Amino acid sequence: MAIESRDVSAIYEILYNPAYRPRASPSAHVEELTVDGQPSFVLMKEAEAEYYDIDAKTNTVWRLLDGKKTIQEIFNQAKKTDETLTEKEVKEIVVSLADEGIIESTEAKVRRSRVELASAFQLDIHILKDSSKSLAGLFRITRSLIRREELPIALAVAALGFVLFYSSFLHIFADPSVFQVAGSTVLGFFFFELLVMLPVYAVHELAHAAVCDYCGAKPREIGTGLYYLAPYFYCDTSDSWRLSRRARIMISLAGPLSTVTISALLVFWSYFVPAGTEQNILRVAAFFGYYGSLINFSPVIETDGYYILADILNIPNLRDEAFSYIKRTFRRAFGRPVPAVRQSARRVRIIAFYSAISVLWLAYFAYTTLWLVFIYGRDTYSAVLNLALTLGRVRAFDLTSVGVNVATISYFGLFMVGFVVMGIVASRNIRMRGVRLETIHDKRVSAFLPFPSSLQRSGSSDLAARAKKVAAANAHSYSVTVEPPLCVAALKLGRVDQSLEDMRGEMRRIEQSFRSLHREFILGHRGPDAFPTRKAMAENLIRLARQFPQAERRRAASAVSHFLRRQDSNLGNLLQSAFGTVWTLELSPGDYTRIKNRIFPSLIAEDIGTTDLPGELEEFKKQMVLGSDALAQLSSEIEEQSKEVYKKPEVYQATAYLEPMKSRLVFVGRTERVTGSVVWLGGLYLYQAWASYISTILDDAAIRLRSIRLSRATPLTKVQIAKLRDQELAVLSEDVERMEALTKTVEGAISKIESTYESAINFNDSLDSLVSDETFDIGLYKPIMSSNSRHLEGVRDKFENFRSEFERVSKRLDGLGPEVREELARRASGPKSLKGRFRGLLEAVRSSRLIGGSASRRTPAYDAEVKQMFATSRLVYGVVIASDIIL
Amino acid sequence: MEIFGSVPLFRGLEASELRAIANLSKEMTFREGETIVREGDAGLGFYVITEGEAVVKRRNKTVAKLQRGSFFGEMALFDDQPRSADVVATEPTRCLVLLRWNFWALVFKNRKVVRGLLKEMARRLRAGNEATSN
Repeated sequence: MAIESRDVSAIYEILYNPAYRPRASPSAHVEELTVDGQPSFVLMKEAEAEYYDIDAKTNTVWRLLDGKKTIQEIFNQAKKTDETLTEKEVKEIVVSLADEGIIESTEAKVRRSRVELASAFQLDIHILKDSSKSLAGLFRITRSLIRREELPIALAVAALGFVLFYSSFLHIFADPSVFQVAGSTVLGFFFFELLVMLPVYAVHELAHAAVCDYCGAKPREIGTGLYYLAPYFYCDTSDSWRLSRRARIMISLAGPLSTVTISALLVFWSYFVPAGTEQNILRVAAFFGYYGSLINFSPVIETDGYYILADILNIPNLRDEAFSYIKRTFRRAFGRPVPAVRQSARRVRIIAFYSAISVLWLAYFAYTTLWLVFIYGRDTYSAVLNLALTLGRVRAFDLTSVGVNVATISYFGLFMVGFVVMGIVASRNIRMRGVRLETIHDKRVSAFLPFPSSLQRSGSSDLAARAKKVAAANAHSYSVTVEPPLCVAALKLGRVDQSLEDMRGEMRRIEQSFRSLHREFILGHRGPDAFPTRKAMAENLIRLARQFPQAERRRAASAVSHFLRRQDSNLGNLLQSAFGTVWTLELSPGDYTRIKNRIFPSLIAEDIGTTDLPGELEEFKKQMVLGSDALAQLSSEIEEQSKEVYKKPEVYQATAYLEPMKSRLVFVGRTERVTGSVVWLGGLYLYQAWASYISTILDDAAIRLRSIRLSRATPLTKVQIAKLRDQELAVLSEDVERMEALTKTVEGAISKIESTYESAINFNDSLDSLVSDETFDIGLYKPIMSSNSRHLEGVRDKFENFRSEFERVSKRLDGLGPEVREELARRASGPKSLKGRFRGLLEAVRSSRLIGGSASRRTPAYDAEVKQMFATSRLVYGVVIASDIIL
Repeated sequence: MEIFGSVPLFRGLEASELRAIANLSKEMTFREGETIVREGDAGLGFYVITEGEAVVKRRNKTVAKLQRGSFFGEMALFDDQPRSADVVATEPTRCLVLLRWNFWALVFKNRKVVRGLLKEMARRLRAGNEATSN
């Protein structure tokens, strides 16, 4: 998977699934420590020897990750401990933990072999996986030997040795021929570095481990390897994060201190041996010890000196902060926008000073490296020459000389290969970080702004005019098309000369501009003009509410007003959810294969946490449109499919990636093949939003319709109708007429839903035409298509269910209507007795005295019927109003 | 639905088929002088004039007149290319618009419509050839 350590499905779960209950990895735990009088929290994943210095907020959240609480519950509980925590922060914390693989479900299994190629220029050999156990006996001895007083003694010995050695050090530094072996500097370097210094380096690492153990932490792995073809040793002392800074400084210092002390002892020894080879070996070994320690104290490379400095300054990510500072300084110097960073003046001063030192040190390092390359190169040149002369029989054959020459050439060759590899990797990293002009040939975006089809023409023209303004502000070449229910703005951004980071910023900015205009437009056009059925439905509901008994009328009116408010809000959110963009980044096939693994994690995964949809829209999209299950399924399918896509770059000439919450679809690769069809992809967002929303409310409405069958309220029988008073019969007749009208409206809505469904199916079929032949394939597109098909499949079943329930309920009305009308006709035509006339008069007087008195004189069966109609109508109206959204 | 029935392209279709097309289409109105589709724009819809008149313009030159029952916009849907010409209403005009995917569904499902489309396109091609040779 290209997304490397990121577990996108877990991140989706955290961000979008309200039912998700994250559980902390059992292999990790937090230790609360008091370091230098300050509370400190270290999150430890001991199995993989990973340690994270976390803040109090992260610690609070971490302790609540028990697999039983949802993110919301974690937030509620965490807020009791820390009032300043926000829900967004909680999500970000959990996402960052999942990102590091310390949430149980996302934890990656780590299998490590003893020999590992860590990178192109680093080979690791894990000798002792847990030195605290393997070297327990040794540490028992070192524990008793280590004394605080030994530190000043060791420092004094090292310093004295260096004072005595100073002139020799400068001499060897100026003339590396001193450490030549068989006349070869390269071989000399090889001999001292790999053979003579081996035990010194071993002691160096053991010193780290012994002091780590002495201070109370567990030293972990000890190993060796090759770094740029030079041997190196390492000791994992990251458990020392649980200790004080002072202890950490001591542990870091122990290694180089042991090296310089041994070097000093070698210097002393050299005074006791006669001048000659033995003394030379001792002095050159001392030189390697001191020089190596000097490199080891480099402030830039993450070695002992760097860690000591970071601990002294108490800035754990000193190097990253310095590089970021340098980057910002350069950007500012070139007039580029610079993100604001809040830091204390002291910290800024430290980082600025460290940055300056780092730059100087890097320059010095580059100089000495080039100088060494020159010295070694000179030797190698001589070796090549000698070898050529020997092969040309100009010089006599000497086995030792040939061996030395071949060894010199080979070692120098390997040395240079190491640099070339390093250079290639560095250059690739730079190019990956900034995807630049030469790699992106063309960039386009289509923004889809759906609007209600029933909107007056002037409304859609207004939307198009606004979209043109935004398009003109972002691109020289654009077109804006209005074809209900979509307004499509297609922008051609052309060749791109920007880094990936800037490109992401531009994407967000353009999308945000269109999204804001769309939101503003939709919020201003969701009333009766845009949705004609809403007005009729509202009137009907208000009249139904008025027929409730006096005591319940207020509640009914409030229910109606709540319902209408929710409908308005839902319609607004639904249209906003259907807003989306499609981006195409056209690359040459070579560039595409090379950088796609970088592009997607950068474009997509890093944006997941910054959804930032306005207001309640984010929640609406999660709950009513996309659905957590569908999101999780989509992300896992994309993950699955991506394995195939990244393995077969020769098959997939382009890759599509959907970010559903943002409604952003990105095509990268040979997009000229899809650009023409992209413009109609707005249907994807439109039908996806519609299908999911209608599916949800159809469910609710069908359940309510079904409950009518189960309810105790039975329809009025012929006998009951005959017993109704005239006034009651008149009200019932009016209701029946209204309900019959409603039935016709619902039937109309059903017809609209059927058409929209057919249109959605047509759209889904049309998606196939996006990839029109077998010679072109788009990776990661299939999951999008199947997700869409699943949505539509669900709608069909739910729609059929709703329709059958509605027809069943309508039949009841079919029977009631004729009976009511028959009774009305009978009363109107039939002769009335004196008693009957008197009763009618009394009714009229009563009703004129009682405000809305009809309801109070209804039979219980009638009241139940009205309530049932009221509740059912609201849900059915929801469906009816939603049917207006597209057609 | 009646309007659809009177459009030559849809003549001969069953009432249920006409109803389905009517349900899937949208009505749009245009004022005199208003551009209905613009050359170079992305094409999303297929248009049938149900009332009024329009002209097809290329580089400000009128190349064809469209009347009630005429249709346009299908070319951009066939080849995914931008609109090839402007269409401007010469009087208040009413059009029915079928979105791309509904148009394609109609084409796939109905041979009569395909025949009508091909016939009209052949006529336009022939007219174009004649204009070129003249």
